[in-house]
Amino acid sequence: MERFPYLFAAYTVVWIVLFAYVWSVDRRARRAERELEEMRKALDRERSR
Amino acid sequence: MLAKRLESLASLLLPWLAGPAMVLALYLIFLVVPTERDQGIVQRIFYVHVPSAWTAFLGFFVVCGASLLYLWRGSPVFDRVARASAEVGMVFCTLVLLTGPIWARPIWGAWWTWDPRLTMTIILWTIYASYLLLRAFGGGEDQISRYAAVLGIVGAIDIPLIVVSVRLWRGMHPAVMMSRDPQGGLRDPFMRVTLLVAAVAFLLVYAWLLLVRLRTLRVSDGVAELARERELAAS
Amino acid sequence: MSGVWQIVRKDLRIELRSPAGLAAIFVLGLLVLLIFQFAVPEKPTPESAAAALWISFVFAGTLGAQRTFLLERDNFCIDGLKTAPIDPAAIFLAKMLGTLISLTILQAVVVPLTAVFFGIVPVRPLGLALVCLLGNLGFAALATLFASISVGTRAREVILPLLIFPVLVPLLIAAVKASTVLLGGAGEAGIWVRVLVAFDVVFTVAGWLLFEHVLRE
Repeated sequence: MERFPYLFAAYTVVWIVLFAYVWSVDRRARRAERELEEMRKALDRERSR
Repeated sequence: MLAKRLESLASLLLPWLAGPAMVLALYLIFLVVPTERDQGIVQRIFYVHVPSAWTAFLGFFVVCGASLLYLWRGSPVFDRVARASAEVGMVFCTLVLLTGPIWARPIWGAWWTWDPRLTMTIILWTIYASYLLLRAFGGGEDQISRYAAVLGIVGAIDIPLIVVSVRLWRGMHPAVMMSRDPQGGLRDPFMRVTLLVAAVAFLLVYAWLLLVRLRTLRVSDGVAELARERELAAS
Repeated sequence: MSGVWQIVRKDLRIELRSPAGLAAIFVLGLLVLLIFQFAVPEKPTPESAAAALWISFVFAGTLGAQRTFLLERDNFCIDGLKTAPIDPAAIFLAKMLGTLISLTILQAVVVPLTAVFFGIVPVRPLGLALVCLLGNLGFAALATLFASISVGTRAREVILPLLIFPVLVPLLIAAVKASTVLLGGAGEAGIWVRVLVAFDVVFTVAGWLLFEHVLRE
């Protein structure tokens, strides 16, 4: 049982890394969607001129 | 059309498959699998360490496959798959290199051991890094995709050579099937099943993350397309 | 085949016009050997001699490998190459050969210097020469392919080592191990020579096949 801290550390690391990556993926996905929207709006504005 | 429908289906299903699979794996790892005799409970790290390694290597072979298809067919989809898999694969490769030392320290006394699997993984990590850095340093659009594809292929064909030379370097016979843990094969059926379930869970997570990245890359490529159109229209 | 020779001759003529470039490579090789001596202050052994030899080769060689494509950058020579009625694969061979020649001369300088600095006489000099050649071949194949890529990126000098070193590892392991034996160390060189040959074949063929994708506009 004295080795438990290592077990805990390993699984925590896995959790943190995966969570951080998922967060990063989500953030970039949102940014891309936002950029797409802005681009579409800008193009609509220019076309209707 | 079929590909699109498959993709929508996959991106809908995958989170619902990957999540429960992970939970199942964790259940097996912590509540079912017996404690290993010599290493104690720390040995359970093995059940995330090895699947991460398998996923990391699979990830690079996907990069290679997508790169080959990209050079052959030219469709940007393949380029995006290669990029996405390089990123996700790198994450899992990093996990192997983080869990490895945490496992090694209590067992062997040292933070790092030059055992074949860890050595191969750190070399793979540098190959992933060079791929991602090449993409970061890129020049023109199509050009950098092709360069990256070449690197992806070269890196992957290097892997068997790495496997052989690292094993020889460590004094092992090069053709020995990778032993599942440094102390020999798994004999307990519970352990085998747990490892398998964990591997499948990790694979599903990989696939899920790959698809999400793929979608995002498609959107941002679309935005770049529109930006180019806009510039052309303005001029 | 004649196309290959034409390109090799052309490149050699350009190189010989300004020998300073080549000289720089040799001096770098020597410098790395010196640095090794000061940085690794232990009794000279076949292991450390082999290590110094190949580290020096890899660093100087990486610099040398750039040159074959750098000399095409001026006056849009690279476009001349691309539009010439020559198979891209042949261009790859020519460039690889050019690099091979420069690096062989580099080895001719570095290897004897290593023997002198470490006070080691190679037990089987012909074997050592063969190992050096095989290592050179694999390195040249890889470096030529990657140099053509790096020339097209923004951080040309930085990216080339980043591309070469990871993939080079099997060759490095094999070359050092084989050289250790041939410099008087214990063990067998045979298996390592086979690894070197495998590496050489794999990456020469890979470069041969893939180069057209790098050259393509």
